[in-house]
Amino acid sequence: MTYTKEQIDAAVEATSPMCFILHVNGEEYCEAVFVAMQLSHDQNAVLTDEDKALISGLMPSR
Amino acid sequence: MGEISGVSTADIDNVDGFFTTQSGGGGGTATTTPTISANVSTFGSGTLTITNASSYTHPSYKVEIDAGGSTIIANTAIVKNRTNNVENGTITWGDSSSVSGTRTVRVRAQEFGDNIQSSEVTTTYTRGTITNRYIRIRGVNSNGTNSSSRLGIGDIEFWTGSARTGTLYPTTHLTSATSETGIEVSMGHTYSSTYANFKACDSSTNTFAWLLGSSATNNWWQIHFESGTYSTPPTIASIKFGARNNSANYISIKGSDTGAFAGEETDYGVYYTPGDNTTYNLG
Repeated sequence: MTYTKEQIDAAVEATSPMCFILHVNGEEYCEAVFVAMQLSHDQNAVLTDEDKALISGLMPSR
Repeated sequence: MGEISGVSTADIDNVDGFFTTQSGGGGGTATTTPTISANVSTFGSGTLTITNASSYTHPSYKVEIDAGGSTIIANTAIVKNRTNNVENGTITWGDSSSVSGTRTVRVRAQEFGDNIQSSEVTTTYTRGTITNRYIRIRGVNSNGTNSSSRLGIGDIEFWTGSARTGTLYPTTHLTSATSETGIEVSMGHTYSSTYANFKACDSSTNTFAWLLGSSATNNWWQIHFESGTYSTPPTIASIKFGARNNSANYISIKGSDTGAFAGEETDYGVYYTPGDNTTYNLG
């Protein structure tokens, strides 16, 4: 898949820059980033409140 | 190489200097014949548990599966599970061969450093089929208990013949859950229409049925062969499961004639599906 800047921005906003970087660099898999990227791609950077709540629930506890 | 020193390599035990069930040149002593137990699901996903090889320090197992007079699964295609980099006696395989008939699993324990191996022990199994009005795929744990790890199905196919031969169901690319007469697909949880149930059977490999946010209870997808069209549901001998964004490391396959799945259903086994964007050919 290819992503637009807007789609990536939406995924980062819904997760966190740190998780996003670790995930895309392959250092630490993050389910929240994976799901956020798919939803952002399929919905063209528009994430609903339901999406954000789902993604938030997948974020790792640190 | 058919023979060594006039002895068939099929009976290599008796060739000096090679593996032997007698005390070997390296000083080792052969174990007694290993004890094996096999658990094979309907579509040939097998687990073999080997015990009684304790006289080996680091046993290595040679396993081959034969059918129809030839080897259908070579030793190199069989997964030998390890603990601390030593084979632990749990061996798995997937049997998607188009060869029909009874399978014979042949096992030997070997110790390369001491050039010894056990006598061969065998067990057999046959693959089965599914003939039910409802076939349900569920995300489960390795022991078959329900899992919330979501299903993601990019492409699923039900075939009447083994190894994806015969008639394919659904017979058309679905455009809705009921677009094909006599077939209805459904799933226990829908996150959004983007990831609807029929997208597991549509014409695109880029769309998928995704049970995002599923619970252990509703993490399932199913096909229904309706009685108005199918007086008898088709007999399914193989399934192609195309995982897409799939988090379920294992899936179960169950069949029911009522759709209740309340204890009346038939269990057709648990299958290991760990890879994302990976196709698993079952049966």
